[in-house]
Amino acid sequence: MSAVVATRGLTRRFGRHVAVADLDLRIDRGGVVGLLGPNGSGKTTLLRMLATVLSPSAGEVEVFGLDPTRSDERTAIRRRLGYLPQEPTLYAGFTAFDVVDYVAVLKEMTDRAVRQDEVRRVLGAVGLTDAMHKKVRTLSGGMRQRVAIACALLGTPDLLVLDEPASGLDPDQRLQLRSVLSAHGQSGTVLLSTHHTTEVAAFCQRVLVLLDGTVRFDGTPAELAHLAEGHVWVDRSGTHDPTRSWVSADGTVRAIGSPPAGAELLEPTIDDGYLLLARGLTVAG
Amino acid sequence: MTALTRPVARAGTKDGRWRRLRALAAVEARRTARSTWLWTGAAGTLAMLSLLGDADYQSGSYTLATAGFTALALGVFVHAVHSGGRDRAGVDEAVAPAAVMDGDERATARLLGLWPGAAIGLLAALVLGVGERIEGGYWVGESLWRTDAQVHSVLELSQIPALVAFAAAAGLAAGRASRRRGLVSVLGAVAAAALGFTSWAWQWVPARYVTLVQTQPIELDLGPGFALSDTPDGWLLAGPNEFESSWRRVVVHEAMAGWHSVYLIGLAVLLAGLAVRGRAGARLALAGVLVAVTGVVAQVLVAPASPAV
Repeated sequence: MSAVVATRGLTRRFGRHVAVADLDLRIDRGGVVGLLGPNGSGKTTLLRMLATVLSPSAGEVEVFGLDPTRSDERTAIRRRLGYLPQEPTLYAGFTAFDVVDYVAVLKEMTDRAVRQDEVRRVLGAVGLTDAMHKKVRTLSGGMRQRVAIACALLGTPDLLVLDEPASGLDPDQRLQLRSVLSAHGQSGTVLLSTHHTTEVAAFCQRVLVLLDGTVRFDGTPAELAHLAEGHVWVDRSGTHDPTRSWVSADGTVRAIGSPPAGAELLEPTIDDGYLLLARGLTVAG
Repeated sequence: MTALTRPVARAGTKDGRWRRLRALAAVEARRTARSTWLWTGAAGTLAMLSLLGDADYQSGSYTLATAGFTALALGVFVHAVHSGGRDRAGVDEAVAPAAVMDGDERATARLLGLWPGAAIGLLAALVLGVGERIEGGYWVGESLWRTDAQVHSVLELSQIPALVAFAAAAGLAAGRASRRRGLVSVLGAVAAAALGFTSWAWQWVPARYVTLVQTQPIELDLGPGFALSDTPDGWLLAGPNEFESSWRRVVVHEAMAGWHSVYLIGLAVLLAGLAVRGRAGARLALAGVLVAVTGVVAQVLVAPASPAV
């Protein structure tokens, strides 16, 4: 299978800070890949490099087998790419329709009639048909996010790179977003970052956990949950450590880490697996 | 949101650069044509032109006719600042930072999309030129039994679209360079007021060669030995007043006006280069410098040195 994304020793520094360190990664065509990691773990930097808007400091990156650091190849990549930045910029004085139409022109859709059909299609896909003629400045945060998602969906790109697409969306809208992205993953490739492990568990076929600029886990959501097998238990000690335990809905204290002897073990979730990795509890606990 | 339906358009067709520039320029041109700033500027110019004929001093109306276009230029400037600054509206990245059209291409298209502003400037200059020829011109000379009226020449009228083109390029360059569009617009308004309402203050030598709003006529002192009968009938003359003690020849110097337009166009090309950036921008900027310098040097060379010129 051909790689949509391939990196070797990919590194990005900002001054002395290393945001992405010596990262090797391969993403094949098709499916939805979730990128998890705490704030500052390098998710956005990695996505920006893959989306051709940030150059690496060292290492190699290929998207569709092309080198984004070369001008002509970058253009060829961009023709097949949809990108949602973490903080998307929209023209506040434009209507939602005009913003998406403008972006469609930037994405080389030059035929006006065809372009406007496409604009209506993507706005419909994100549920903004009724609001398309409202000015962006009058839209709610969730609606603006959906306008930005619509921009990324234009032209049904082969690769969608989405930086926290569910940000600002309510549960119903998140559900609808899953529907759109999982459908997109049938024909193309979706790479998205999120803080919501439930999103990853819901529709990602593969999950990457990025910590300190390196991939610390690469597998399925079930495999990530399985990491915590034998490390989640009911804590009856009465000494509640808020860094590794919490009172669950049924009133019991759910703890993660190394359980004491005889502890009542619980079925781990993807959240547990992620927390174990992110907090290094396997080692410390 | 609903699941994706079959796409009706696809990005990444093999459109040429010119085709996408044209498409974005068309979108920008529609926004320019609807710009509140542009039409407010045009209304300001109309208001200033409506004062023509009210000037109570010789050549006052003649001067005001061209200086009045600074309002239109200001409107074009402010619109261009907003157009050039579109991609600086965000905290971090431009709109669609991974789109095929990069910042330099966008700036080029936005520059081309300002054409309605330049077209309005050109049209207004034509209307002014035709109108004053129908009306019989403006009072610029004041000696009895002589010609005392003058209309703006074509080369003088060319200063109007050249000024508007300069304002468009300056606004685009400033908008692309600065996030503070409001402040840049205010500075533009201050400059327009200083150069437009007080255009008379900038006509001293050598400021008149480099000022953005050059107004004519030029007055050339005839000196103490002057006798009215010694001057040709075709000369326009101005007599002594509270500021001047002697008679002066009033000259509308077409070549100077023409070369001043060349200077303005050079500045516009220079600023367009700064707005567009990249290799093409550098070439434009260099060409603009050469044209602007040529315009200034030529004005100095052709400027009348004595009343008998």
